[in-house]
Amino acid sequence: MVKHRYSFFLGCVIPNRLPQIEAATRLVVPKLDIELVEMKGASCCPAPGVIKSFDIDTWLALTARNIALSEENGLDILVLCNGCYGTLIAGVAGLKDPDTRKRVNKILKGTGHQVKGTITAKHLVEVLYMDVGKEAIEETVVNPIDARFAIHVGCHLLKPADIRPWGFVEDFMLVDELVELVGGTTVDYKLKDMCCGAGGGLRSAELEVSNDMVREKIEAMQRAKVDALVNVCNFCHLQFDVGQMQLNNQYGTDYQVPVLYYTQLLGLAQGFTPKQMGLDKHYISTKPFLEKIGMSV
Amino acid sequence: MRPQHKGVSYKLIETGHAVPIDDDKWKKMREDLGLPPLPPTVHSYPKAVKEVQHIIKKTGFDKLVNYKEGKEDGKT
Repeated sequence: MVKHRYSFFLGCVIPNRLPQIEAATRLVVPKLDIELVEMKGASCCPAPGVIKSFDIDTWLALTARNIALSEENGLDILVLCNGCYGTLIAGVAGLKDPDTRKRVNKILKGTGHQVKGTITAKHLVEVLYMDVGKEAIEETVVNPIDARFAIHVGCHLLKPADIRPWGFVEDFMLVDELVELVGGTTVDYKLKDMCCGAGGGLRSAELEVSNDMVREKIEAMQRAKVDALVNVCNFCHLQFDVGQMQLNNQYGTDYQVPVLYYTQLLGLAQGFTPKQMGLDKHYISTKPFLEKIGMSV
Repeated sequence: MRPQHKGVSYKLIETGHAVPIDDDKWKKMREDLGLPPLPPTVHSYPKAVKEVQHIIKKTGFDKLVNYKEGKEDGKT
């Protein structure tokens, strides 16, 4: 019998732009005794930066529908994207209030779904660190990855802190610890806690400002001589991978920091091939990093 | 509201995804990775898209973003 079961919330960017993260995660988590149950017909979370900023009721009703799908599965949600996590966990918290739930269920009437407030949403980091545990993860490592990594945690994973499970937001080292479990060395760098620049509708509306934040962070990582960046949010992942390419095309720079989502790194450590982890699908080549660790795509 | 944000809203209204599969290259990429061409989201369930649209009509979000069915009206 499987030890951990979750509804798997995909969101938009992972299945529709970065399916390598979906593929890697689907291969990696069974080794951790996790079963992912589909959320059939799930929609956009919806995006906190754009939809929540313009209409709270639309945002809350759409996320309530997604939460209801997982309630119908009888499971908590596992989510890989910080933005989706921010929306879902805020939805879970807001829908605990009976009056809010009643108001939202009136909107949901006619969809065939009603939300009850019986489940929660967990980010991958919470599932790995708190549910699965470091020891169980370490046991799956057959190929330690000896390289230097810059960690980018992202904003929505940590804040607002009162509806997050961590109990603290400063010096958040849980992702560093997860990377060190697979043999990596995590490197401190200037601006480590700074936003990637993607969220809040910034990337869609102010690309130049958004990519300038990529430039600042990537230059700091390069000064710290990292082999790759590891993230736990697909939108941050897209921002760094696509953003470097866009900066190189626009300004003739040569930013080349490979970008890996955590499950892709864990998969390599578990013995999966770079191709299985989709490392040939990135905008910034992962080849130098793979050569450093004795692999190739 | 910026036209770009309206554009994202229209994609959500039409497909249920703010970032939908709007080119076959994304389906091909999924298949290359051993995944089905469409994910098990609204993209695989037309009824689910109707549910999303039902919610959006009920809250009036379509009017808020000046959405007109069949017209690309993000360019105000």
